[in-house]
Amino acid sequence: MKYGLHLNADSKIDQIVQKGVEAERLGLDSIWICDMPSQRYGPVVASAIASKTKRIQIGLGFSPLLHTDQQIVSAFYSLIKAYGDRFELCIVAGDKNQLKKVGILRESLKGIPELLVQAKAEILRRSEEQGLSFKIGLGAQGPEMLKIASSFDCVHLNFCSPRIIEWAINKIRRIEGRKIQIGIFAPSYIYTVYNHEIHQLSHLSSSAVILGTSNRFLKTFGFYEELIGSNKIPQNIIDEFSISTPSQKLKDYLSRIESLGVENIVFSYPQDYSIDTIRDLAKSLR
Amino acid sequence: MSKLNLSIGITTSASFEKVNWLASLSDEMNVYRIWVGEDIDSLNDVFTLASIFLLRTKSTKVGIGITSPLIRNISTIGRASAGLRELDYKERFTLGLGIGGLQDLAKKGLVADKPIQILKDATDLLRKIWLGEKVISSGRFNLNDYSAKCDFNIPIYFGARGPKLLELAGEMADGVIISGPRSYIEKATSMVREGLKGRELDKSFTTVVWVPTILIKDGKGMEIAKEVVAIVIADTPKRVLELCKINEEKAQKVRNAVLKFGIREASELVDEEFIKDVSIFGNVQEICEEFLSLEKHGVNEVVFGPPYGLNWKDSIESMAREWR
Repeated sequence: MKYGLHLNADSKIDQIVQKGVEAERLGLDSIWICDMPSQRYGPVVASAIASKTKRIQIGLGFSPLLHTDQQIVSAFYSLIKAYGDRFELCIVAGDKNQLKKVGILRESLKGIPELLVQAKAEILRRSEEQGLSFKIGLGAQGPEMLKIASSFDCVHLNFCSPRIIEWAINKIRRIEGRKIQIGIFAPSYIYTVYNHEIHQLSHLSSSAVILGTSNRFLKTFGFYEELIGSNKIPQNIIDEFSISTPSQKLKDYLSRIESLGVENIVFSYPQDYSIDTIRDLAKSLR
Repeated sequence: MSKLNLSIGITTSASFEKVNWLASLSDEMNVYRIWVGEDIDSLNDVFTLASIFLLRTKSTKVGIGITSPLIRNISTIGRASAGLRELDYKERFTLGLGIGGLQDLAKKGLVADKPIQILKDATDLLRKIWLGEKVISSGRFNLNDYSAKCDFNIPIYFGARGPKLLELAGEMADGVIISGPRSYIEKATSMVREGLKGRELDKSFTTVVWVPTILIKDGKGMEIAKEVVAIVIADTPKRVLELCKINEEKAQKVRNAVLKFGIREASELVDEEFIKDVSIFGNVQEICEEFLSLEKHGVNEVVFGPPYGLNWKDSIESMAREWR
């Protein structure tokens, strides 16, 4: 199993870089930057981290609804030429609320899964023309996205409960001779000493993921009805989408999901809350 | 040698050999600034390339010269620039904004109608974003309660050729990057001054001249300017060409060829007269003299290259050495 850390790019770049450097020092396999419209531009953050690290893999999440295929390839070209072959792409549809803020109405666009598949093919074609080679994954959640996952090198699932992971893996259409790596990308709070404030952030982060989820997906697991009938998101649903656990229990969880076929896991916000929370994570993984 | 600053220009089409070389030596060569021009849909990402220069240099300033607000979401330009500003506490980064190469935009099906309004709106929005304001905007730049965590200013220079845009640069930008025919530079600077009239500046306004430069060695080098000259001719508004008495019929042929067949084929139509009209060329001393002659028009900064000369490394080094 490979372990990664998502770095939230909404703080000052030097602070993000410091966390990236610490992640490498602690032996994590990858760090991830998601190019969210309200945060710093992913490739610039990636460039700053890459300039201060040597081996750690750097993943970048991009929405083709916000950037053209060529713009994505150009960013990878510059990064790979400057810092070597240690970058990976994850194509995502993008958070609908964030996209709305920058004038992109996701709900008005038809055929987003097809659009992402086309973007992947075009990015692959253009990057091969430039002699570049990097992994192209998909950020996925609902059945529509899972249907197209086999067109990508890997899939990053935005939930963490073993029963949903199992359901998702069964949904992914397998193509003979083609391996799809299964990964998890979920809000996380792995702690040695509990901090209520950070736990609340994990709760909020998980809530944001749930609210961005399609009704169809929520209905599949009976979450939709539960959500409609309550004022706040019930804890049992939050737990399906975020990993919030004391350090000593992490290994049990990891063994369980590894047995399902998960090969990598990215611990998302607020695990990067501070250098200490990053150290807690690394300690728990040892 | 002079108060006039010497900068080096490079574009996003440049090879990484050039990028690495320039990044490693620009501080040592005392280069004032590296300007990164965006060739639309080319090899490198303009913001990532600018970050690499900022991260690999200590004293050389870095500017994007220019990018167009028509080819990216305005929020992307805002937050990418904010990131570049944060890479260096000496605030070495400057954003150049312009409409973009007319031929490149046409190829992408983009129409640059109302260029004055486009640059005005883009500049206003970017400045608000950088001050951390919550921004609402409709029309071409659609933002709904958008904000990014920022609390600073970033200098914006306009890349402009047409008279109205040059005047607008004087009215609202922090600087201007003038390009186009050589004989136009004097006129262009006076248009910028018109815009500056009546404006209270809290800091100095910078006038940059960036035209193709070619270092001629042993009588050789003019040929390599053909492609870049074709781009300049094709992208220069007709009115500007008329003002400079450049043969419009010949220019139109270049424009058509760029659109139909691309730059390489269009460059075949570029003759020596065109090269002389739009580029600065000669030996090192001649180029320096021509650069220095621009100071009397209020120019503060000149940009060397591309295409530099037959041997780009040697040409840049020779220029930097002579300038010191």
